[in-house]
Amino acid sequence: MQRKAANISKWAVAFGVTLVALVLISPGNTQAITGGVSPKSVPAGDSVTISGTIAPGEDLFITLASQRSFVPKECIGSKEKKRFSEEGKKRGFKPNTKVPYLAYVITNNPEALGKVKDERYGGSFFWSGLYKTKMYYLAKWDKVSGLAKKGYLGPVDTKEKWNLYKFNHEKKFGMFTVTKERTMKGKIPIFSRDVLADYAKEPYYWNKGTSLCLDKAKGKFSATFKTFRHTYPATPFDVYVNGNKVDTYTVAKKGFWLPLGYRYINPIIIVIGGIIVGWFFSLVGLGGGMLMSAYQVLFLKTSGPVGVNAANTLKPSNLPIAFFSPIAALRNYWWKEKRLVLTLALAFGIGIFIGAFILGPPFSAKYLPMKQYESWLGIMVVIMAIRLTYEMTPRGMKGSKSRREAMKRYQEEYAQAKAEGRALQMSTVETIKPGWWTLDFKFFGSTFRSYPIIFGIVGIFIGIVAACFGIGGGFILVPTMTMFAGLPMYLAVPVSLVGSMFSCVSAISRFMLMGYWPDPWIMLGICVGAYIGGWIGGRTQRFMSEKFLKIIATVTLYFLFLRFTKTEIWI
Amino acid sequence: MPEQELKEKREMEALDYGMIVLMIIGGIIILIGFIKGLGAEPWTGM
Repeated sequence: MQRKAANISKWAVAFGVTLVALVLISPGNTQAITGGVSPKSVPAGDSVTISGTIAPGEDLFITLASQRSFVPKECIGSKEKKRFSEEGKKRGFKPNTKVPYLAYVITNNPEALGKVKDERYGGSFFWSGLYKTKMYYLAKWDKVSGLAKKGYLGPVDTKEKWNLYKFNHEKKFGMFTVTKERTMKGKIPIFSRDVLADYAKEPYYWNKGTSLCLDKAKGKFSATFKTFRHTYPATPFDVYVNGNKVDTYTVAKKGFWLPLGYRYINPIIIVIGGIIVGWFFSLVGLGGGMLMSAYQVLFLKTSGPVGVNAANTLKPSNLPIAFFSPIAALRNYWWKEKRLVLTLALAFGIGIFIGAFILGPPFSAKYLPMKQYESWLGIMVVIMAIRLTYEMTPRGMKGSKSRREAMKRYQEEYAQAKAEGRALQMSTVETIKPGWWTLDFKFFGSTFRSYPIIFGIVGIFIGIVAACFGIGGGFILVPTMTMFAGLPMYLAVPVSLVGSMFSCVSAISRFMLMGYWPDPWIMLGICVGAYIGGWIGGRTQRFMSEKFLKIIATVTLYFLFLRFTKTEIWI
Repeated sequence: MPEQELKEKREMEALDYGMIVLMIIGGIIILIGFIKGLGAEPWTGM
């Protein structure tokens, strides 16, 4: 009996020892890990503190992963969905791979997950990579699989998820479409924050706002992390410490959230910016849509919903300005003075429809995501700057003077004719020789020859440009019509205004049909701002000389060119 | 009023209406965008 009891106790001891040994050598060493976050609800952009204990001697990996996630096949944007599917084949993730939309790892050993390497940035086209900085590159899956499989990276625990996470954070397309978090060097976004370390020990720009204190001997730790200022409102985050989920916290709304712009911006700021741009535009007289795009890119930083590239929200949000701004001017040209060549307007309208509705938006949504959009916007801006520079040369001054005189003469004649009661008869466009190739018409006592077919082609081009950049295109319209299509200035201006309105409506409706909706507050803010700015501009114009305004405009445009092509990166 | 003048006047009026229709259509399209945007709570994969 005693022998039996001794046998049982021997087995019990052996079992107990084995159990203790198993617990001690288990990978997570769960008993030793504790952790908590404070506060539990943090306004976007503020800091959270995570503290607790891990097993002494171990490295620390705190993973903060949003419960909101991103799945490529559920992209709102059709072009983005296609691009993710193509990238997935190349980079090794699937359309149904699910990753948190924001996820960070705070660690004392960042080398375990990647490497700091040199990164060339800035510049554009032929001069890309002008500047040098450092960037944190995530390692390949083979290197991190051990940690990931133990749950150290939270929900990012498979090869596909890691590859998608890497793409979202390191590639501009992923950053502008998914995370929306831009870690900047100067004014240039380099990548999205992913693996972070203590800023005091590793003073790289991406570690700003992160502090980590780990007592390796005792396993005690405390980390502070600055949340992303434009985190989607009420996003819960799970906190994992060395593979164990220890707590959750919520990033709360802070400020006015733009539902499709995906930023916290006070709408009054949008209006104020709109006023400044509208005022400037009304003084210089061109490029309203383009300056608004510049304002959105540089100041508002319109980001777009998760699954839509930033540029594909920016363009439809910007287009309504091209619809509303010509209305006031049109009231004069159209209803009072009745200047129109119907055949030309029709040819132009067809061209614009083909360009802005059929060709432009799909092309733009696919080939002009934010990275490329900025560079090409730079090219458009420099074309306008060159035009303004030319207008300031003696030859250009002479040309614009003669154009102004022609306009003035026309208006005087019109007023006189109106006084004598023959305005309608005089200002009616009388077709002499109709045709789609050449069109001869008589207007205000002079005979003109124009080319409707050129108008059609120009219309297509303008439509594409308008849809690509979310602008009206008036600055290319008028010179093209007067130079190549033989239209006098006073007939070209109203056609161009109608043209930009028409291209705006065509492009925005196509963008909306494709699922790219404008942000209502950006749209409203810039339209209201531009209207007030235009009103102020009309009343302040006489205090400034035209040359002075043109010099300021030209300098601004050259600056924008340098900025959009990332040649200037500091101001 | 001679017939030619009347015809031209009618054409002008038609154009006026055409312009107004274009503006109304444009306005409605933009309004749809605005309203849709206001109620947007877009999210993928939640």
